[in-house]
Amino acid sequence: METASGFRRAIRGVTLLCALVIISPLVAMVLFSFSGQVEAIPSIWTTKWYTFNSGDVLSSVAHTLEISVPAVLIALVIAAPLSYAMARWSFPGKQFINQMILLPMLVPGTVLGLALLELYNTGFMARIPGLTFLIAAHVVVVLPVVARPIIAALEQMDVELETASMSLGANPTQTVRKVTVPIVFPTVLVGAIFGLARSITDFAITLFLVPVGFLPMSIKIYNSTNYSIPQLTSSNAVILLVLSLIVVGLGEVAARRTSRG
Amino acid sequence: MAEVEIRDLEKSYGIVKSVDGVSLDVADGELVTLLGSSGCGKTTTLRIVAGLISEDRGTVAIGGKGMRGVPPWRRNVGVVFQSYALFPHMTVRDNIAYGLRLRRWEGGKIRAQVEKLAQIVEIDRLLPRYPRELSGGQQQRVAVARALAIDPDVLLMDEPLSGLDANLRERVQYELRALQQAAGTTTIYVTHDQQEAFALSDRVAVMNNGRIEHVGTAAEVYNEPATAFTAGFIGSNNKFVATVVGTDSAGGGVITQAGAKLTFQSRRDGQPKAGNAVDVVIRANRIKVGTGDGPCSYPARVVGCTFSAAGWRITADIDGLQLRADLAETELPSGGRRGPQPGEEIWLSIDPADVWVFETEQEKG
Repeated sequence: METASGFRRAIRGVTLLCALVIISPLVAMVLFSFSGQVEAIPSIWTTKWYTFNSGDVLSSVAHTLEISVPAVLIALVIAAPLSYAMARWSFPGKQFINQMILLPMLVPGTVLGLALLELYNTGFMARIPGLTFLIAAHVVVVLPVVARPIIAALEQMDVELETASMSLGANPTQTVRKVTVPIVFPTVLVGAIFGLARSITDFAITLFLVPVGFLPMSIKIYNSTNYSIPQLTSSNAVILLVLSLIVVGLGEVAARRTSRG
Repeated sequence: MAEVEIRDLEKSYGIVKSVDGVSLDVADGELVTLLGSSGCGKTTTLRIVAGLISEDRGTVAIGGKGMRGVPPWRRNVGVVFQSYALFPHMTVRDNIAYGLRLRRWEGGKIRAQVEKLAQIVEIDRLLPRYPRELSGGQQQRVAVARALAIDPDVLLMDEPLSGLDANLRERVQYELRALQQAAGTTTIYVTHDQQEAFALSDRVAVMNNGRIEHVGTAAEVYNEPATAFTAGFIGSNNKFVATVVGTDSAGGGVITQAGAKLTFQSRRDGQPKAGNAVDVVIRANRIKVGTGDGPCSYPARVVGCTFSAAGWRITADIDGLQLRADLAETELPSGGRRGPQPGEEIWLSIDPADVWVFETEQEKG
């Protein structure tokens, strides 16, 4: 047993080390954004790097949400009937569609972004407003994040509940409204939150497709590494970090409460 | 309340014929049980009556109205599922009220009906709870209350007691029967448990391979089974194939198997012919300890013996034919203190009327 506990301690040590490797740059960045100097223990503490261009930052956050919120909502509207069909019915091409749903998660962002840009530059697509096209591209990557948990929840749900509802006098529409949706709703919420996180943090696709003058947070941060000073870059980055942590945190909390209930 | 008429129902899944020509009449207020083992088609038949599965051929009529093309939500049937299927996101009260709200009953009437049903099944304290807070027995009651609340024309129950432990099951059987009779609701009940079927039903329909083998009261099905399957399925039996060696004018004769010759009174389903192979069923509890005299006493050697609450279960060999017999303690010469020992020679008496002989399945073709 001595070796086992030694081994366990070693594993714990390695895990801690890996966690530190991931977290420490972020911590350094947070400290840097409040001090402006590269030092392990900040000697000054200031919020001036945050207040400096706060108007810019706020409008950038607004741009981010202008893209991500509609993208998630549209993805939900598409995912709802899609998930129901995938979970409840069998039909020709079902396996194919299953793979297609997964695809945006597997294709590298740059490849997808470039492909979509080429598509946009063909004659007729260019007539679509750039923002619309960008939102549509976000829908494509958000859809798998939203649809997969919903499909899983529907499959896990006892189908007999829908049967019971129909035997009691509810037609399929009423059944979905009164039985299926309330039961699956927590999972939909979790999926939506994680979809939002995916969209807010997207970089590669957004970089290719962002219309002129539009500056969501991920792009602003990238730009500022070229055009701005490191302190501002890190303060903007911290804002985005906090934003995504909040969103993902909400998602985790919602997910835990779903699995308990 | 309504009568149910099922005619020539057929349903296949791929090459498997799940329901193969089922016809049944259920009178208004009657409780008929579909009894059979897994895969015999009883649940499929029930679901077709509910409208949850559509039949390939045949008709279902409830209250004289044909149900072809009528979806389940328009059939006014109450279904109790094996898994209860209570809505987890609704309280017990809302579960029971579900069908009533769909039918747009007025609020006060809904409340009254829910409370009435809750009292009948004795769950009135549980109305504000959620299904996950209830025991299996309580959930089962809620499921019954929910199905009955809508005043269904027909009540359909799919093995509703199979999730309960044995003690609870007996008590609930009795209560269910009382409830059904008081409400007078036409009911079709599905189970694989013979004892349950006999306890609850006005009539029992024994099913096998998608067909009804025999419909009758519990006593009829037990004492006068129409087919070999029914005879072999109900109760504890000896089943074997034998050959007819001699027939008499009264329709009886002698069958032989492995060197043993047993007299039978008459073939249950027609004229026996010498030389034919037949299915024979002898109930284990109809074999008695005999004395050496009488034409129906056969010398036997005890092969095995086990104790059971009802008496002694022995396996005995009559000239190569091994039969199981359930003997009451009182029958044994030793007064039952000690069962017959392996190797012991005893006389077994089998009344010819208890030797049930049927045409074999092959003959029927």
